[in-house]
Amino acid sequence: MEGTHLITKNFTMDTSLSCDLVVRAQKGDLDAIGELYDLHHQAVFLYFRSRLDDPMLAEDLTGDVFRRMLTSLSQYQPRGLPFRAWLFRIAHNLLVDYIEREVGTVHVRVDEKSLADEHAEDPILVVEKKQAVELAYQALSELTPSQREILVLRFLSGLSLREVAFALNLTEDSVKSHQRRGLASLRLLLTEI
Amino acid sequence: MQSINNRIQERLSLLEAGEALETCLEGLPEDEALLIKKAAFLRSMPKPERAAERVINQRQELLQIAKERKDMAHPSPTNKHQPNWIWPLALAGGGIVILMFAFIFAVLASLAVVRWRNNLKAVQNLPQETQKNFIPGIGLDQPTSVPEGFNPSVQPGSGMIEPPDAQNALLIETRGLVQIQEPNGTWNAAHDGMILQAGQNLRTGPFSSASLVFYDGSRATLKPKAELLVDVLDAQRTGPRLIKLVQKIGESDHQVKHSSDPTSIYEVTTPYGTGIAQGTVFHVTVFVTRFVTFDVDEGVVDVTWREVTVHIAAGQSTIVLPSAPPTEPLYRITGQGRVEQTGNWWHIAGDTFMVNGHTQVVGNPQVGDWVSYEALIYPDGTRLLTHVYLLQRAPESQFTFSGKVEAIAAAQWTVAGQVVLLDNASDIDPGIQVGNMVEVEGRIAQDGKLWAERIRLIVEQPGPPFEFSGVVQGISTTDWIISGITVTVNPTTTIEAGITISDVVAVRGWILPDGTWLARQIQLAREEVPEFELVGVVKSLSPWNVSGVVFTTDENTRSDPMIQAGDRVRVKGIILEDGSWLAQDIRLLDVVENQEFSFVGNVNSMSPWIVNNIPLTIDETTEISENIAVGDLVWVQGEILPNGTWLTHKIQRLEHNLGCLTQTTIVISVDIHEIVIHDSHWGKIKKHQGLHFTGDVKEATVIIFSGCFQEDGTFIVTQITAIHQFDRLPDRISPNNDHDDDHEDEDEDDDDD
Repeated sequence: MEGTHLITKNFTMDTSLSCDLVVRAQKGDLDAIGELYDLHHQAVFLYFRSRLDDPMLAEDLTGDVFRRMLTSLSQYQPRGLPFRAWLFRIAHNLLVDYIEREVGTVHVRVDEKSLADEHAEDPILVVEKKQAVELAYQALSELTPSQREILVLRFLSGLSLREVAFALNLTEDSVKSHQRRGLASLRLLLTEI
Repeated sequence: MQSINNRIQERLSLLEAGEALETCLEGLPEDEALLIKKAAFLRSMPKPERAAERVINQRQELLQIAKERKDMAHPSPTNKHQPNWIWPLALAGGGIVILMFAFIFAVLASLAVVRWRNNLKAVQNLPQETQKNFIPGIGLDQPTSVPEGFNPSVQPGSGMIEPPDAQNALLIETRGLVQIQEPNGTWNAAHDGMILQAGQNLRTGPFSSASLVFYDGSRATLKPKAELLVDVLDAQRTGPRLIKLVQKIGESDHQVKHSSDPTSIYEVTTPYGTGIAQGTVFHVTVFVTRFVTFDVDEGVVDVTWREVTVHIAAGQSTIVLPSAPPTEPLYRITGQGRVEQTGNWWHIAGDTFMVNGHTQVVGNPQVGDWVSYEALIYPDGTRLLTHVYLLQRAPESQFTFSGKVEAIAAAQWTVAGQVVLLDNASDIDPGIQVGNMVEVEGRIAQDGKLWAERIRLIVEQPGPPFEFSGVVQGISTTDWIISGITVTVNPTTTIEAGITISDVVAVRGWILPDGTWLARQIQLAREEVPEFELVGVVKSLSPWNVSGVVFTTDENTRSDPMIQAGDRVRVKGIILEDGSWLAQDIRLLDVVENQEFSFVGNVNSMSPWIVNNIPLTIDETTEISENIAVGDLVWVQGEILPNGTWLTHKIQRLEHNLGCLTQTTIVISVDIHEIVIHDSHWGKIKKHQGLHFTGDVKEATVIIFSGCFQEDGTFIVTQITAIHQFDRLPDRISPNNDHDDDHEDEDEDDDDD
């Protein structure tokens, strides 16, 4: 049944796993396309959700990414380029396009449900954790756009340095630099965590 | 020594590989350890989960689209191959199964019919050639060939000139990437002849535009990167007309047919402010910086926001900010000119303009560059620049020539006896060696040194070269559609990974003898102002048509007056924001093309001739303009002889034209000598013999005046056109009270930025 493998929480998968899937998907194999979606949809959603205040919008943009993936899949050539990096370049372009159009806010509220589920056994921990996470998201929203983008992709969506470099069309050195500066800014903004 | 960036990344890699945090922190200074801890915290934070139902629906939709595409590409065999045992089995399947299938089929079929009808309606309105390539569910998948006489400004029309009824709008003049949103939220490519109804969204990509024609004859045109919702549509020709549009972003033009019914409405709602018109021509811009302008060209538009309505007449504009009602009517100014100063205050062609966060600056113009601009004039005379668009880099700094590479070093090359310097921005074809023929383009520094911006290897080519930038509209395995031009790709074409529909790309290639545009390289565009270049045969000069591509020229276009139809030319230019191609340089090509040079510079000496510190050789055939003096700006063309001599064919003096402008304002008074206007900068326009009037210009007339700056800096008005007449001067304007208006602070929405 399709619904049984829809939520893939371990989205920091080994990207080499998707090579075969991509080849099959390029040939029109519906199972492979479905598996690519299963593997990456949550990370893509997280990327949008971490940048936008509207969960429905993040959902819609996630769908747009995969529709664009279908359109352009025949053009994807690995050449050492991870598929996930290619997918996130699509996501990045969509986000830039959206922000240009809508001047969207780029911060996110924490989903209380997901926090409550995780620490249901200890209400005090839930509150403390919730506050810390809210502060973290708030701090992320105060970084420069490049720093925020890179930290979200690296540590929330789980992309590697190289994947981020490709997705954002930057050099790896540039990503490293933004990454360190972003973490340093975060350290100043989150002294109490 | 390892840099801190690398050290941090090394420890993060350990963390990502699953090492314990303590292990990752071992030996690190405390401040660096804190960074790793912050990264670990981010990684461990709970992440928002998606709703399972939403995921299921999205996945199913994706697979449905994939299946449709697959079916279209590889149609299923018909039932003739079904084994005979299927029928008895089906018959034995029972009534419930049959009913279920019947129900599902009915639902799917009805959905399919609706979709098919929409597609069919659209296809029927497409040109015949395009219909052949239309694939339901996918749209225009297989690109058509390059249309003869392709004009980037206009794509072929459908022939249909009006929608079938008042509840439909006809899409025409689509250019570039234009999309319609389907009821399920997906965006599909839109083409001339498609029909839009209430509830549908239309959007344009970069360098793209489209127009909607309504049943009553009114018309809305979307500029690049704009989005419009047709909210309510009942465009009756008689009786009350009702057209309500919602403009989410970008620019649009509206031509509203006059309606005799006073209850008729033509309304454009933006995030901040609604404009309602009767019979007018107006322009709406929703800036990404939360700033909306309404500009009226004819008639009157009532603009309302925060329960305040202002009446904007022809020639006037208003600004609407989220936090304030619309400004009182402002006047506007558009023009072209040379940039003399940048910063918070720009000087263009002798005029001073304020720049703020809302100003859209395209192409990073620098002092000396030639730009077009649009500005609004506040009652106190302050001019706020709303748009600045780079048209041409300072000509003093440009050069191009071809020749043999004589030496190659890290920071400088010698080509045809000239030393050219390189920097990080120099774009050099790979594989060039000493002895190769190359073409060098670049800028000439103040000290006369040549800095190469591009060095291209001249190789035997399968056809004349082309190069342009545009928006990707279609991708297939053999062809791409880029801003309306179909380019062919083959295994030798280098295509940058990750390019998708709607990306702006730069394409290089050759025009093959059969007319095919073969791409040799497609990559994401790096230039903010895209350029084009092509070599081809002149088919006509009015309009300019080279190898089937139509482009425009302006007073800054350099072209050889000897060019005739049938000549082979090289055309270089820029692609304007609306997608049209503007030529900057049209050069006649001949057999010595590879040894040509051309540059613009200041005359250092005339005996011997030295321009921009480059010594020139002239002979009895060299054509030299009259009245050239040392210090003048000249355009030099010629050829580099095998012995390295720069033999000059032509030295042409260029006029120091500062620029021209067009401005709207209101007339305070008129006498036989001058016209006093409500503008603190100009104050009055003196009448002279060369001044032409259109319409009756008197007190309280809104006028458009245009003119140009002369070489000595004076501004000469050559045309005044009356466009609107008020009964009397507005209360806040009088001959003795020219500066008493409240100055609306355009920055008062700082909180929103």
